[in-house]
Amino acid sequence: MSTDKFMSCTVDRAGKKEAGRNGDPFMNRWPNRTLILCLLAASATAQNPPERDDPYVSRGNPTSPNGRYEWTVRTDHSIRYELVDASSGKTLASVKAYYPEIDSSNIQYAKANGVFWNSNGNVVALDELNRRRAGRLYFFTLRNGTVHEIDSESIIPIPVSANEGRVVVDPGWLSPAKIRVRLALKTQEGAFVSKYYLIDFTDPDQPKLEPAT
Amino acid sequence: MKRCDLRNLRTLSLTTLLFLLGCDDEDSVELANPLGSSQPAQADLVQAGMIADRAATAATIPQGDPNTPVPGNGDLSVLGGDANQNQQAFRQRFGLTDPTQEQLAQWEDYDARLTAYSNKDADWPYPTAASANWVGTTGTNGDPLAVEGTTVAVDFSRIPRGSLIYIPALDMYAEANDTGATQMWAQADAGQSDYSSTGAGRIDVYNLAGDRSSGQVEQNFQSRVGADEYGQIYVVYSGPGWKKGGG
Repeated sequence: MSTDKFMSCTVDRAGKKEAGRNGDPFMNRWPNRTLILCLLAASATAQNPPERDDPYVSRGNPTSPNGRYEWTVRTDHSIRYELVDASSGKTLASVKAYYPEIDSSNIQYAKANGVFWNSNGNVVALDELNRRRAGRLYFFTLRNGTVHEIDSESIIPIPVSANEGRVVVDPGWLSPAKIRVRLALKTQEGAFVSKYYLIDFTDPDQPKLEPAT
Repeated sequence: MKRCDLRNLRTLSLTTLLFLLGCDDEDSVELANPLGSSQPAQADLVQAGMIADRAATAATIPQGDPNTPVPGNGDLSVLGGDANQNQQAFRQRFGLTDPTQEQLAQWEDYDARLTAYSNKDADWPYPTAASANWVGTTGTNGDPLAVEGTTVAVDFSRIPRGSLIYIPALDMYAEANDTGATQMWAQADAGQSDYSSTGAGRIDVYNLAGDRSSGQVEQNFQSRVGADEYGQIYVVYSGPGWKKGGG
């Protein structure tokens, strides 16, 4: 799924107001339909792990909306993800893969990542494959050529009482500033629990967390 | 409120409800066995039978006195399916016997946290895949499958992929050929499990769930190894060399 396509689904509040004014029945329904289609389309393609077909396909779009930045998987010395300035080739950020040792399985897992840019291109989520809660979710904010890394677990800590847990993108950006994520937990009793949140990056330095349904 | 607005609201509510139901991993897993039966599912039985058949075919009977008892009397049925049969075939194929005190003294031992995982996991709704195992069984997408009775998942940065380990609490030899969220540090493990740079950390033992829910698998496993989940493990051979006679 391309991020551009996904972001085209973003609900436009201004558009909703405008539709209300002109009284066109179709336009009145448009925002709801768009939101529904957006959630359904995103849920079908952005689940981590994917709910069907090949679980090892990459998700999202590694390239930023303006085409200036791109995520790549490096496998020379160790397996890692790098954010590269496409024009200069300069590496702006680097993250070690959850399984960094170089072998075919680990490379397959690393390539099954998900990259989700917001429509402004100033926040990007790097979501490693969720294989039984292995892997991590990182956020990166970009401003004036500077990249800042935020570990999702610094925003949503994994409860100490959980046997295993991690945060995944689910299903993605719902607006230019808000992304919906899922805290996937395995309890000490062996049960699986999902909790949903919205992370608001209106202030990229201080992302805010709110429960979601 | 206009009629069309009400219609919109109803449509949105219904669709959101359906969407949320579709997203709820927890229910889909735990409802797999509403009656709490411990009988394996048909698909699991087929898979288990296939693995066991291959294991028996590939087994090599060690030379020696035919009256010698088959080693390993630990009951691994808690791991589901053909765990006992797989363990026996595994031991036969690689000439593994119940460890002597001398052997135990030579092997590296660690305090480890013993946990269970199975083929029923909300965050991996596929057959549980291991790296190449001794049986060579693969799923439809070509992934090697975990084998109950011989597969454990470990943190490969602590125990190299393919290592042979022995778990006294289960009387089980196992191949460390799978991994998962085994890097995860549990605060409660401090002082009870060896998470040092060379420690073993967590050992996640594969179970074929059958008709059991994930919760039942966990409950059965804990009742077998003890609710505190901590125990000793031995690294018999570090890395996959033992398959070539290194063990």
